[in-house]
Amino acid sequence: MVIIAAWADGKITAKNNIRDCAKLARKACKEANISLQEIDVVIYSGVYRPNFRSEPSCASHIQSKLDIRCHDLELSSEHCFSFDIIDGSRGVHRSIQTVSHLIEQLEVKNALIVCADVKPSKQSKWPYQNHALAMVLSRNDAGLKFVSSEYKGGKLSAYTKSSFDTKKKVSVITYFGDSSNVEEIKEEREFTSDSSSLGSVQMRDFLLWSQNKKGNLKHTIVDRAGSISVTNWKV
Amino acid sequence: MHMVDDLLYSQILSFAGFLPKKVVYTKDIAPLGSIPRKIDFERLTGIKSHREVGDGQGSVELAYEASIMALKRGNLEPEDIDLVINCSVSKLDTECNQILEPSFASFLVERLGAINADHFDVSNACSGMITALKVADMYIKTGMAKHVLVTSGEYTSPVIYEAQKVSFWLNPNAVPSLSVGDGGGAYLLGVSSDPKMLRFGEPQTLAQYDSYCVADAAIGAPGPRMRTRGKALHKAAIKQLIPSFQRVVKLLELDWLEIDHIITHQTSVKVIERGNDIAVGAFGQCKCYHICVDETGNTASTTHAVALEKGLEENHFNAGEDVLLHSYGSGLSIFIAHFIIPQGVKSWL
Repeated sequence: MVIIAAWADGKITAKNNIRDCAKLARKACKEANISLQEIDVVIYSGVYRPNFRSEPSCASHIQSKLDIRCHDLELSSEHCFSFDIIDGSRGVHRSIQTVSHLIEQLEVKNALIVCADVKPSKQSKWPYQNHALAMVLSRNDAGLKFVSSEYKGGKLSAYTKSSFDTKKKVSVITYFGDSSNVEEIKEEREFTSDSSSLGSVQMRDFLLWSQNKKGNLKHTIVDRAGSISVTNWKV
Repeated sequence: MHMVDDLLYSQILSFAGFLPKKVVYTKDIAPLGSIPRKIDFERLTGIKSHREVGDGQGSVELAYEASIMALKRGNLEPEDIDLVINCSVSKLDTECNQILEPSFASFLVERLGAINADHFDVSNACSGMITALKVADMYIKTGMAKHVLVTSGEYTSPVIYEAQKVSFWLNPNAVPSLSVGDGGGAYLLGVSSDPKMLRFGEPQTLAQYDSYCVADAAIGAPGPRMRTRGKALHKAAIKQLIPSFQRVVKLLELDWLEIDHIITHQTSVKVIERGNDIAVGAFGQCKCYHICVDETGNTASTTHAVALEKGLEENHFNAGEDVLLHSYGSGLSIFIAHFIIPQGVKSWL
Protein backbone atom coordinates (compact mmCIF):
# COMPACT_ATOMS: atom_id res chain seq x y z
CA MET A 1 0.00 0.00 0.00
CA VAL A 2 1.03 3.59 -0.58
CA ILE A 3 0.77 6.07 2.25
CA ILE A 4 1.43 9.76 2.65
CA ALA A 5 4.22 9.43 5.19
CA ALA A 6 4.56 13.16 5.81
CA TRP A 7 3.87 16.52 4.21
CA ALA A 8 4.75 20.16 4.55
CA ASP A 9 3.33 23.25 2.89
CA GLY A 10 3.89 26.98 2.81
CA LYS A 11 4.12 30.17 0.83
CA ILE A 12 6.91 30.33 -1.73
CA THR A 13 8.48 33.05 -3.83
CA ALA A 14 8.65 33.09 -7.62
CA LYS A 15 12.31 34.09 -7.51
CA ASN A 16 13.39 31.28 -5.21
CA ASN A 17 10.66 28.76 -5.84
CA ILE A 18 12.98 25.77 -6.23
CA ARG A 19 14.87 26.65 -3.02
CA ASP A 20 11.57 27.10 -1.18
CA CYS A 21 10.14 23.82 -2.51
CA ALA A 22 13.36 22.02 -1.53
CA LYS A 23 13.06 23.43 1.99
CA LEU A 24 9.53 22.02 2.31
CA ALA A 25 10.70 18.68 0.90
CA ARG A 26 13.49 18.48 3.49
CA LYS A 27 10.97 19.21 6.23
CA ALA A 28 8.61 16.46 5.00
CA CYS A 29 11.46 13.93 4.70
CA LYS A 30 12.62 14.74 8.22
CA GLU A 31 9.13 14.24 9.56
CA ALA A 32 8.81 10.94 7.65
CA ASN A 33 12.17 9.94 9.13
CA ILE A 34 13.70 9.12 5.76
CA SER A 35 16.91 10.37 4.25
CA LEU A 36 16.79 12.37 1.01
CA GLN A 37 18.97 9.67 -0.55
CA GLU A 38 16.13 7.19 -0.02
CA ILE A 39 13.90 9.09 -2.48
CA ASP A 40 13.55 7.07 -5.70
CA VAL A 41 11.20 9.36 -7.64
CA VAL A 42 10.43 13.09 -7.66
CA ILE A 43 7.24 14.28 -9.36
CA TYR A 44 6.33 17.95 -9.70
CA SER A 45 2.70 18.76 -10.44
CA GLY A 46 2.44 22.55 -10.61
CA VAL A 47 1.05 24.40 -13.62
CA TYR A 48 2.38 27.94 -13.22
CA ARG A 49 6.17 28.22 -13.31
CA PRO A 50 8.54 31.18 -13.09
CA ASN A 51 8.85 32.84 -16.50
CA PHE A 52 6.74 30.05 -18.06
CA ARG A 53 9.58 27.51 -17.92
CA SER A 54 9.00 24.60 -20.28
CA GLU A 55 12.21 22.60 -19.82
CA PRO A 56 13.78 20.89 -18.01
CA SER A 57 11.25 19.43 -15.59
CA CYS A 58 10.86 21.38 -12.35
CA ALA A 59 11.22 18.00 -10.63
CA SER A 60 14.81 17.75 -11.89
CA HIS A 61 15.55 21.22 -10.48
CA ILE A 62 14.23 20.10 -7.08
CA GLN A 63 16.19 16.84 -7.25
CA SER A 64 19.30 18.88 -8.04
CA LYS A 65 18.66 21.34 -5.21
CA LEU A 66 18.20 18.44 -2.78
CA ASP A 67 21.26 16.70 -4.25
CA ILE A 68 19.44 13.37 -4.52
CA ARG A 69 21.77 10.80 -6.10
CA CYS A 70 23.31 13.42 -8.40
CA HIS A 71 26.13 11.34 -9.85
CA ASP A 72 27.09 9.89 -13.20
CA LEU A 73 25.87 6.57 -14.44
CA GLU A 74 27.85 3.43 -13.65
CA LEU A 75 27.00 -0.21 -14.12
CA SER A 76 25.36 -0.61 -10.73
CA SER A 77 24.84 2.95 -9.50
CA GLU A 78 21.52 3.85 -7.88
CA HIS A 79 19.57 6.77 -9.33
CA CYS A 80 16.50 8.87 -8.81
CA PHE A 81 14.00 9.68 -11.57
CA SER A 82 12.28 13.04 -11.90
CA PHE A 83 9.51 14.34 -14.12
CA ASP A 84 6.46 16.60 -14.12
CA ILE A 85 2.76 15.81 -14.40
CA ILE A 86 0.38 18.56 -15.48
CA ASP A 87 -3.35 18.25 -15.18
CA GLY A 88 -4.58 21.57 -13.81
CA SER A 89 -5.50 21.33 -10.15
CA ARG A 90 -6.07 17.57 -10.60
CA GLY A 91 -2.33 17.16 -11.18
CA VAL A 92 -1.72 16.38 -7.53
CA HIS A 93 -4.18 13.45 -7.64
CA ARG A 94 -2.67 12.26 -10.90
CA SER A 95 0.79 12.34 -9.36
CA ILE A 96 -0.35 10.27 -6.38
CA GLN A 97 -1.89 7.72 -8.76
CA THR A 98 1.35 7.58 -10.77
CA VAL A 99 3.45 7.08 -7.63
CA SER A 100 1.09 4.27 -6.66
CA HIS A 101 1.77 2.62 -10.04
CA LEU A 102 5.52 3.14 -9.68
CA ILE A 103 5.54 1.60 -6.23
CA GLU A 104 3.54 -1.37 -7.51
CA GLN A 105 5.56 -1.92 -10.67
CA LEU A 106 9.09 -0.65 -10.01
CA GLU A 107 11.20 -1.09 -6.93
CA VAL A 108 10.23 2.35 -5.72
CA LYS A 109 10.01 2.66 -1.96
CA ASN A 110 9.78 6.39 -1.40
CA ALA A 111 8.61 9.19 -3.67
CA LEU A 112 8.49 12.93 -3.32
CA ILE A 113 5.60 14.85 -4.85
CA VAL A 114 5.88 18.62 -5.00
CA CYS A 115 2.85 20.57 -6.09
CA ALA A 116 3.67 24.24 -6.49
CA ASP A 117 2.42 27.25 -8.41
CA VAL A 118 3.88 30.73 -8.66
CA LYS A 119 2.99 33.89 -10.53
CA PRO A 120 4.90 33.34 -13.80
CA SER A 121 5.61 37.02 -14.44
CA LYS A 122 5.18 40.14 -12.31
CA GLN A 123 2.78 41.63 -14.83
CA SER A 124 0.45 38.59 -14.86
CA LYS A 125 -2.98 38.81 -13.28
CA TRP A 126 -2.73 36.33 -10.41
CA PRO A 127 -5.60 35.89 -7.98
CA TYR A 128 -3.63 33.44 -5.80
CA GLN A 129 -0.79 33.38 -3.31
CA ASN A 130 2.27 31.44 -4.45
CA HIS A 131 2.09 28.13 -2.61
CA ALA A 132 3.73 24.70 -2.46
CA LEU A 133 2.96 21.35 -0.91
CA ALA A 134 5.63 18.65 -0.55
CA MET A 135 4.50 15.11 0.24
CA VAL A 136 6.59 12.01 0.94
CA LEU A 137 4.83 8.85 -0.21
CA SER A 138 6.07 5.45 0.91
CA ARG A 139 5.33 1.78 0.57
CA ASN A 140 3.81 1.14 3.97
CA ASP A 141 0.58 0.16 5.73
CA ALA A 142 0.39 2.57 8.62
CA GLY A 143 -1.07 5.98 7.88
CA LEU A 144 -3.25 7.66 5.28
CA LYS A 145 -3.42 4.95 2.60
CA PHE A 146 -4.13 5.73 -1.04
CA VAL A 147 -6.67 3.21 -2.36
CA SER A 148 -7.74 4.32 -5.84
CA SER A 149 -8.68 7.26 -8.04
CA GLU A 150 -11.27 8.06 -10.69
CA TYR A 151 -11.28 10.79 -13.32
CA LYS A 152 -14.15 12.36 -15.23
CA GLY A 153 -13.52 14.79 -18.05
CA GLY A 154 -15.57 17.87 -18.76
CA LYS A 155 -15.97 20.17 -21.73
CA LEU A 156 -13.05 22.51 -22.20
CA SER A 157 -15.12 25.44 -20.93
CA ALA A 158 -12.29 27.37 -19.26
CA TYR A 159 -8.55 27.37 -19.75
CA THR A 160 -5.43 29.50 -19.50
CA LYS A 161 -2.60 30.28 -21.89
CA SER A 162 0.35 32.61 -21.88
CA SER A 163 0.18 35.60 -24.18
CA PHE A 164 2.53 38.44 -25.02
CA ASP A 165 1.51 41.83 -23.68
CA THR A 166 2.77 44.17 -26.39
CA LYS A 167 2.60 47.25 -24.13
CA LYS A 168 4.44 45.72 -21.18
CA LYS A 169 6.67 43.65 -23.48
CA VAL A 170 6.31 40.53 -21.37
CA SER A 171 4.44 37.22 -21.40
CA VAL A 172 1.43 37.11 -19.08
CA ILE A 173 -1.36 34.65 -18.23
CA THR A 174 -4.58 34.98 -20.20
CA TYR A 175 -7.77 33.45 -18.80
CA PHE A 176 -10.43 32.12 -21.16
CA GLY A 177 -14.04 31.09 -20.43
CA ASP A 178 -15.86 30.81 -17.15
CA SER A 179 -14.24 28.47 -14.66
CA SER A 180 -16.61 26.28 -12.68
CA ASN A 181 -16.53 27.26 -9.03
CA VAL A 182 -17.24 24.55 -6.50
CA GLU A 183 -17.23 25.58 -2.86
CA GLU A 184 -15.59 23.49 -0.17
CA ILE A 185 -17.88 20.73 1.15
CA LYS A 186 -16.96 18.83 4.31
CA GLU A 187 -18.99 15.74 5.12
CA GLU A 188 -18.34 12.88 7.53
CA ARG A 189 -16.25 10.88 5.04
CA GLU A 190 -16.02 13.09 1.96
CA PHE A 191 -14.14 16.28 1.30
CA THR A 192 -14.67 18.40 -1.81
CA SER A 193 -12.06 21.11 -2.25
CA ASP A 194 -12.73 24.75 -2.99
CA SER A 195 -12.05 24.85 -6.73
CA SER A 196 -11.01 28.49 -6.67
CA SER A 197 -7.80 27.48 -4.82
CA LEU A 198 -4.56 26.21 -6.32
CA GLY A 199 -4.12 22.42 -6.47
CA SER A 200 -1.56 22.43 -3.66
CA VAL A 201 -3.96 24.29 -1.35
CA GLN A 202 -6.82 21.95 -2.26
CA MET A 203 -4.71 18.92 -1.35
CA ARG A 204 -3.37 20.56 1.84
CA ASP A 205 -6.93 21.32 2.99
CA PHE A 206 -7.89 17.67 2.49
CA LEU A 207 -4.82 16.49 4.42
CA LEU A 208 -5.70 18.81 7.32
CA TRP A 209 -9.33 17.64 7.30
CA SER A 210 -8.29 13.97 7.25
CA GLN A 211 -6.05 14.24 10.32
CA ASN A 212 -8.59 13.08 12.91
CA LYS A 213 -10.55 10.76 10.63
CA LYS A 214 -10.78 6.98 10.59
CA GLY A 215 -12.08 4.56 7.94
CA ASN A 216 -12.69 5.19 4.24
CA LEU A 217 -12.30 8.77 3.00
CA LYS A 218 -12.95 10.46 -0.32
CA HIS A 219 -11.38 13.60 -1.78
CA THR A 220 -12.80 15.41 -4.82
CA ILE A 221 -11.08 18.07 -6.92
CA VAL A 222 -12.87 19.96 -9.68
CA ASP A 223 -10.56 21.80 -12.05
CA ARG A 224 -11.00 25.07 -13.95
CA ALA A 225 -12.64 23.29 -16.89
CA GLY A 226 -15.03 21.28 -14.74
CA SER A 227 -13.11 17.98 -14.96
CA ILE A 228 -13.27 15.96 -11.76
CA SER A 229 -10.84 13.69 -9.95
CA VAL A 230 -11.79 11.61 -6.95
CA THR A 231 -9.26 9.85 -4.74
CA ASN A 232 -10.23 7.16 -2.24
CA TRP A 233 -8.27 6.78 0.98
CA LYS A 234 -8.23 4.60 4.06
CA VAL A 235 -6.97 5.41 7.54
CA MET B 1 15.39 1.41 -9.50
CA HIS B 2 14.76 -2.07 -10.86
CA MET B 3 11.79 -3.56 -12.61
CA VAL B 4 9.41 -5.94 -10.88
CA ASP B 5 7.66 -8.79 -12.74
CA ASP B 6 4.20 -7.85 -13.94
CA LEU B 7 1.06 -9.79 -14.72
CA LEU B 8 -0.53 -7.64 -17.45
CA TYR B 9 1.50 -6.28 -20.35
CA SER B 10 1.25 -3.60 -22.97
CA GLN B 11 2.28 -3.31 -26.60
CA ILE B 12 2.68 -0.63 -29.25
CA LEU B 13 -0.17 -1.16 -31.72
CA SER B 14 0.99 1.60 -34.04
CA PHE B 15 3.14 4.70 -34.24
CA ALA B 16 3.36 7.78 -36.45
CA GLY B 17 5.56 10.77 -37.02
CA PHE B 18 4.35 13.90 -38.75
CA LEU B 19 6.38 16.67 -40.34
CA PRO B 20 4.90 19.94 -41.62
CA LYS B 21 5.55 20.67 -45.29
CA LYS B 22 7.66 23.82 -45.08
CA VAL B 23 11.39 23.04 -45.48
CA VAL B 24 13.89 25.54 -44.07
CA TYR B 25 17.58 25.13 -44.87
CA THR B 26 20.34 25.50 -42.31
CA LYS B 27 22.38 27.61 -44.71
CA ASP B 28 19.54 30.16 -44.61
CA ILE B 29 19.13 30.37 -40.81
CA ALA B 30 22.82 29.99 -39.97
CA PRO B 31 24.84 31.21 -42.95
CA LEU B 32 28.60 31.16 -42.81
CA GLY B 33 29.84 34.11 -40.80
CA SER B 34 26.73 34.35 -38.61
CA ILE B 35 28.31 32.28 -35.85
CA PRO B 36 31.54 33.35 -34.11
CA ARG B 37 34.90 31.75 -34.90
CA LYS B 38 33.75 31.06 -38.48
CA ILE B 39 31.83 27.99 -37.35
CA ASP B 40 29.98 26.28 -40.18
CA PHE B 41 26.83 25.22 -38.31
CA GLU B 42 25.69 22.82 -41.02
CA ARG B 43 29.09 21.11 -41.04
CA LEU B 44 29.27 21.13 -37.24
CA THR B 45 25.91 19.42 -36.78
CA GLY B 46 25.23 17.65 -40.07
CA ILE B 47 21.76 19.23 -40.05
CA LYS B 48 20.95 20.37 -43.58
CA SER B 49 17.34 21.37 -43.08
CA HIS B 50 14.35 21.20 -40.77
CA ARG B 51 10.60 21.59 -41.09
CA GLU B 52 8.45 24.44 -39.81
CA VAL B 53 4.74 24.82 -39.23
CA GLY B 54 2.52 26.45 -41.82
CA ASP B 55 -0.42 28.80 -41.28
CA GLY B 56 -2.87 27.48 -38.72
CA GLN B 57 -0.43 24.96 -37.27
CA GLY B 58 0.82 24.86 -33.71
CA SER B 59 1.75 22.12 -31.26
CA VAL B 60 -1.85 20.81 -31.04
CA GLU B 61 -2.17 20.52 -34.81
CA LEU B 62 1.17 18.67 -35.12
CA ALA B 63 0.15 16.23 -32.38
CA TYR B 64 -3.29 15.87 -33.96
CA GLU B 65 -1.92 14.91 -37.37
CA ALA B 66 0.38 12.27 -35.86
CA SER B 67 -2.43 10.98 -33.62
CA ILE B 68 -4.85 10.56 -36.52
CA MET B 69 -2.21 8.59 -38.44
CA ALA B 70 -1.49 6.35 -35.43
CA LEU B 71 -5.21 5.71 -34.84
CA LYS B 72 -5.75 4.80 -38.50
CA ARG B 73 -2.77 2.43 -38.47
CA GLY B 74 -4.00 0.84 -35.26
CA ASN B 75 -7.54 0.45 -36.69
CA LEU B 76 -9.08 2.42 -33.84
CA GLU B 77 -11.42 5.40 -33.70
CA PRO B 78 -10.93 8.35 -31.33
CA GLU B 79 -13.83 7.18 -29.17
CA ASP B 80 -12.00 3.87 -28.55
CA ILE B 81 -9.26 5.66 -26.62
CA ASP B 82 -9.38 5.52 -22.81
CA LEU B 83 -6.49 7.82 -22.11
CA VAL B 84 -4.49 10.48 -23.95
CA ILE B 85 -1.11 11.44 -22.52
CA ASN B 86 0.68 14.39 -24.05
CA CYS B 87 4.38 15.02 -23.56
CA SER B 88 5.06 18.14 -25.65
CA VAL B 89 7.75 20.48 -24.40
CA SER B 90 6.70 23.46 -26.51
CA LYS B 91 2.89 23.42 -26.05
CA LEU B 92 2.52 26.48 -28.26
CA ASP B 93 -0.65 27.44 -30.06
CA THR B 94 -0.59 28.96 -33.53
CA GLU B 95 0.10 32.41 -32.03
CA CYS B 96 3.11 31.18 -30.00
CA ASN B 97 1.14 31.25 -26.73
CA GLN B 98 1.92 28.47 -24.26
CA ILE B 99 -1.03 26.27 -23.26
CA LEU B 100 -1.08 26.15 -19.46
CA GLU B 101 -4.24 24.82 -17.84
CA PRO B 102 -5.88 22.35 -17.58
CA SER B 103 -3.53 20.40 -19.89
CA PHE B 104 -2.35 20.29 -23.49
CA ALA B 105 -3.88 16.81 -23.72
CA SER B 106 -7.35 18.22 -22.96
CA PHE B 107 -7.10 20.42 -26.08
CA LEU B 108 -6.04 17.45 -28.15
CA VAL B 109 -8.87 15.26 -26.82
CA GLU B 110 -11.37 17.94 -27.81
CA ARG B 111 -9.81 18.24 -31.28
CA LEU B 112 -9.75 14.47 -31.79
CA GLY B 113 -13.29 13.96 -30.50
CA ALA B 114 -11.96 11.31 -28.13
CA ILE B 115 -15.10 11.57 -26.03
CA ASN B 116 -14.28 8.67 -23.72
CA ALA B 117 -10.68 9.59 -23.07
CA ASP B 118 -9.17 10.69 -19.81
CA HIS B 119 -6.22 13.03 -20.35
CA PHE B 120 -3.16 14.66 -18.79
CA ASP B 121 0.38 15.82 -19.59
CA VAL B 122 3.76 14.37 -18.71
CA SER B 123 6.64 16.80 -19.00
CA ASN B 124 10.21 15.60 -19.11
CA ALA B 125 11.89 17.58 -21.89
CA CYS B 126 13.11 15.38 -24.76
CA SER B 127 12.70 12.23 -22.64
CA GLY B 128 9.01 13.08 -22.27
CA MET B 129 7.83 10.59 -24.88
CA ILE B 130 9.56 7.57 -23.31
CA THR B 131 8.44 8.74 -19.86
CA ALA B 132 4.85 9.04 -21.12
CA LEU B 133 5.09 5.59 -22.75
CA LYS B 134 6.08 4.16 -19.37
CA VAL B 135 3.23 5.98 -17.60
CA ALA B 136 0.83 4.65 -20.27
CA ASP B 137 2.27 1.15 -19.83
CA MET B 138 1.51 1.36 -16.10
CA TYR B 139 -2.11 2.40 -16.72
CA ILE B 140 -2.53 -0.62 -19.01
CA LYS B 141 -0.82 -3.02 -16.61
CA THR B 142 -3.10 -1.99 -13.75
CA GLY B 143 -6.19 -2.33 -15.93
CA MET B 144 -7.04 1.39 -15.70
CA ALA B 145 -6.89 1.72 -19.51
CA LYS B 146 -7.04 -0.56 -22.55
CA HIS B 147 -6.07 1.83 -25.30
CA VAL B 148 -3.75 4.74 -24.63
CA LEU B 149 -2.63 7.39 -27.10
CA VAL B 150 0.76 8.90 -26.23
CA THR B 151 1.32 11.97 -28.31
CA SER B 152 3.31 15.14 -28.74
CA GLY B 153 3.46 18.17 -31.01
CA GLU B 154 6.63 20.20 -30.99
CA TYR B 155 6.37 23.71 -32.41
CA THR B 156 9.92 24.56 -31.42
CA SER B 157 11.09 26.69 -34.34
CA PRO B 158 10.32 30.02 -32.54
CA VAL B 159 13.49 29.45 -30.47
CA ILE B 160 15.51 29.64 -33.71
CA TYR B 161 14.23 33.12 -34.48
CA GLU B 162 14.61 34.29 -30.88
CA ALA B 163 18.24 33.12 -30.98
CA GLN B 164 18.89 34.93 -34.26
CA LYS B 165 18.00 38.25 -32.61
CA VAL B 166 20.77 38.02 -30.02
CA SER B 167 24.52 38.30 -30.41
CA PHE B 168 26.09 34.84 -30.52
CA TRP B 169 29.32 36.43 -29.29
CA LEU B 170 27.59 37.54 -26.11
CA ASN B 171 25.17 34.58 -25.95
CA PRO B 172 27.00 31.47 -27.20
CA ASN B 173 24.40 29.33 -25.39
CA ALA B 174 21.82 30.51 -27.93
CA VAL B 175 23.65 28.80 -30.84
CA PRO B 176 22.24 25.28 -30.18
CA SER B 177 18.72 26.75 -30.61
CA LEU B 178 19.45 26.78 -34.36
CA SER B 179 19.37 22.97 -34.38
CA VAL B 180 15.66 22.43 -33.69
CA GLY B 181 12.73 21.67 -35.97
CA ASP B 182 8.96 21.20 -35.77
CA GLY B 183 7.26 17.80 -35.75
CA GLY B 184 4.58 15.58 -34.26
CA GLY B 185 4.63 12.06 -32.92
CA ALA B 186 2.16 9.51 -31.60
CA TYR B 187 2.12 5.94 -30.30
CA LEU B 188 -1.00 3.85 -29.77
CA LEU B 189 -0.72 1.34 -26.94
CA GLY B 190 -2.91 -1.66 -26.18
CA VAL B 191 -2.98 -4.77 -23.99
CA SER B 192 -0.71 -7.72 -24.72
CA SER B 193 -0.21 -11.18 -23.30
CA ASP B 194 3.45 -11.11 -24.32
CA PRO B 195 5.75 -9.47 -21.75
CA LYS B 196 8.36 -8.68 -24.39
CA MET B 197 6.30 -6.46 -26.70
CA LEU B 198 7.13 -3.24 -24.83
CA ARG B 199 9.75 -2.98 -22.10
CA PHE B 200 11.80 -0.29 -20.47
CA GLY B 201 15.25 0.27 -19.04
CA GLU B 202 15.67 1.91 -15.66
CA PRO B 203 14.72 5.58 -15.69
CA GLN B 204 17.41 7.93 -14.43
CA THR B 205 17.73 11.66 -13.86
CA LEU B 206 21.26 12.96 -13.40
CA ALA B 207 20.09 16.25 -11.94
CA GLN B 208 23.57 17.67 -11.48
CA TYR B 209 23.15 18.70 -15.14
CA ASP B 210 19.72 20.33 -14.69
CA SER B 211 20.88 23.80 -15.74
CA TYR B 212 22.59 22.75 -18.99
CA CYS B 213 19.53 23.31 -21.20
CA VAL B 214 16.71 25.60 -20.12
CA ALA B 215 13.69 27.00 -21.99
CA ASP B 216 11.66 29.95 -20.69
CA ALA B 217 9.53 32.75 -22.10
CA ALA B 218 11.60 35.06 -24.30
CA ILE B 219 12.54 38.44 -22.89
CA GLY B 220 10.75 41.35 -24.54
CA ALA B 221 9.32 39.19 -27.33
CA PRO B 222 6.55 36.62 -27.75
CA GLY B 223 7.25 32.88 -27.60
CA PRO B 224 9.99 30.89 -25.88
CA ARG B 225 13.77 31.04 -25.77
CA MET B 226 16.20 28.21 -25.14
CA ARG B 227 19.73 28.40 -23.75
CA THR B 228 22.01 25.38 -23.91
CA ARG B 229 25.54 24.74 -22.74
CA GLY B 230 26.05 22.65 -25.84
CA LYS B 231 29.58 21.34 -25.37
CA ALA B 232 29.12 20.59 -21.67
CA LEU B 233 25.78 18.84 -22.28
CA HIS B 234 27.26 16.80 -25.12
CA LYS B 235 30.18 15.77 -22.90
CA ALA B 236 27.85 14.78 -20.07
CA ALA B 237 25.60 12.78 -22.41
CA ILE B 238 28.47 10.92 -24.08
CA LYS B 239 29.82 10.00 -20.63
CA GLN B 240 26.59 8.17 -19.79
CA LEU B 241 26.16 6.47 -23.17
CA ILE B 242 27.92 3.15 -22.65
CA PRO B 243 26.76 2.57 -19.05
CA SER B 244 23.17 3.28 -20.12
CA PHE B 245 23.41 0.77 -22.98
CA GLN B 246 25.17 -1.81 -20.79
CA ARG B 247 22.48 -1.53 -18.12
CA VAL B 248 19.56 -1.91 -20.52
CA VAL B 249 21.17 -4.83 -22.36
CA LYS B 250 21.69 -6.61 -19.03
CA LEU B 251 18.27 -5.78 -17.59
CA LEU B 252 16.27 -6.80 -20.68
CA GLU B 253 18.67 -9.65 -21.58
CA LEU B 254 19.33 -8.28 -25.06
CA ASP B 255 22.14 -9.13 -27.44
CA TRP B 256 23.37 -5.77 -28.76
CA LEU B 257 24.39 -7.26 -32.09
CA GLU B 258 20.95 -8.80 -32.56
CA ILE B 259 18.89 -5.63 -31.98
CA ASP B 260 17.30 -4.84 -35.34
CA HIS B 261 16.99 -1.06 -34.98
CA ILE B 262 18.54 1.48 -32.64
CA ILE B 263 17.19 5.01 -32.53
CA THR B 264 18.95 7.48 -30.27
CA HIS B 265 17.82 11.02 -29.53
CA GLN B 266 18.25 13.01 -32.75
CA THR B 267 20.40 15.96 -31.66
CA SER B 268 22.86 16.16 -34.53
CA VAL B 269 24.34 13.81 -37.12
CA LYS B 270 27.82 14.31 -35.70
CA VAL B 271 26.74 13.44 -32.15
CA ILE B 272 24.87 10.31 -33.27
CA GLU B 273 27.80 9.15 -35.38
CA ARG B 274 30.23 9.76 -32.54
CA GLY B 275 27.94 7.86 -30.18
CA ASN B 276 27.79 4.98 -32.64
CA ASP B 277 31.60 4.90 -32.91
CA ILE B 278 31.86 4.66 -29.12
CA ALA B 279 29.19 1.94 -29.01
CA VAL B 280 30.99 -0.02 -31.75
CA GLY B 281 34.12 0.03 -29.59
CA ALA B 282 32.20 -1.35 -26.64
CA PHE B 283 29.81 -3.83 -28.28
CA GLY B 284 30.61 -4.13 -32.00
CA GLN B 285 28.65 -2.69 -34.93
CA CYS B 286 24.89 -2.87 -34.38
CA LYS B 287 22.61 -4.01 -37.20
CA CYS B 288 21.07 -0.61 -37.97
CA TYR B 289 21.05 2.80 -36.33
CA HIS B 290 18.73 5.45 -37.66
CA ILE B 291 19.40 9.10 -38.44
CA CYS B 292 16.79 11.61 -39.58
CA VAL B 293 18.08 14.75 -37.89
CA ASP B 294 19.91 15.81 -41.08
CA GLU B 295 16.53 16.58 -42.65
CA THR B 296 14.38 17.33 -39.59
CA GLY B 297 16.54 19.02 -36.96
CA ASN B 298 16.05 18.11 -33.32
CA THR B 299 12.29 17.74 -32.87
CA ALA B 300 12.49 17.37 -29.08
CA SER B 301 10.14 14.73 -27.63
CA THR B 302 9.03 13.60 -31.10
CA THR B 303 12.48 12.68 -32.48
CA HIS B 304 12.03 8.91 -32.16
CA ALA B 305 8.57 8.98 -33.76
CA VAL B 306 9.85 11.14 -36.61
CA ALA B 307 12.79 8.74 -37.13
CA LEU B 308 10.41 5.77 -37.05
CA GLU B 309 8.25 7.44 -39.72
CA LYS B 310 11.29 7.95 -41.93
CA GLY B 311 12.20 4.30 -41.39
CA LEU B 312 8.69 3.33 -42.52
CA GLU B 313 8.95 5.46 -45.64
CA GLU B 314 12.27 3.84 -46.47
CA ASN B 315 10.80 0.37 -45.89
CA HIS B 316 13.20 -0.52 -43.07
CA PHE B 317 10.71 -2.21 -40.75
CA ASN B 318 9.22 -5.69 -40.67
CA ALA B 319 6.72 -7.03 -38.16
CA GLY B 320 8.41 -8.81 -35.29
CA GLU B 321 11.66 -6.84 -35.48
CA ASP B 322 12.81 -5.09 -32.32
CA VAL B 323 13.59 -1.42 -31.79
CA LEU B 324 15.56 0.27 -29.03
CA LEU B 325 14.63 3.91 -28.37
CA HIS B 326 17.28 5.76 -26.39
CA SER B 327 16.28 9.16 -25.03
CA TYR B 328 18.22 11.99 -23.49
CA GLY B 329 16.33 14.95 -22.11
CA SER B 330 17.32 18.15 -20.37
CA GLY B 331 17.52 17.48 -16.71
CA LEU B 332 19.56 15.26 -17.53
CA SER B 333 17.05 12.49 -18.00
CA ILE B 334 17.93 9.13 -19.55
CA PHE B 335 15.26 6.58 -20.39
CA ILE B 336 15.25 3.66 -22.85
CA ALA B 337 12.31 1.75 -24.34
CA HIS B 338 12.46 -1.50 -26.29
CA PHE B 339 9.53 -2.68 -28.41
CA ILE B 340 8.53 -5.13 -31.10
CA ILE B 341 7.24 -3.80 -34.44
CA PRO B 342 3.55 -4.76 -34.65
CA GLN B 343 1.88 -6.88 -37.31
CA GLY B 344 0.51 -4.96 -40.26
CA VAL B 345 3.35 -2.47 -40.40
CA LYS B 346 3.85 -3.08 -44.11
CA SER B 347 0.32 -1.87 -44.86
CA TRP B 348 0.62 1.44 -43.01
CA LEU B 349 1.76 3.56 -45.97
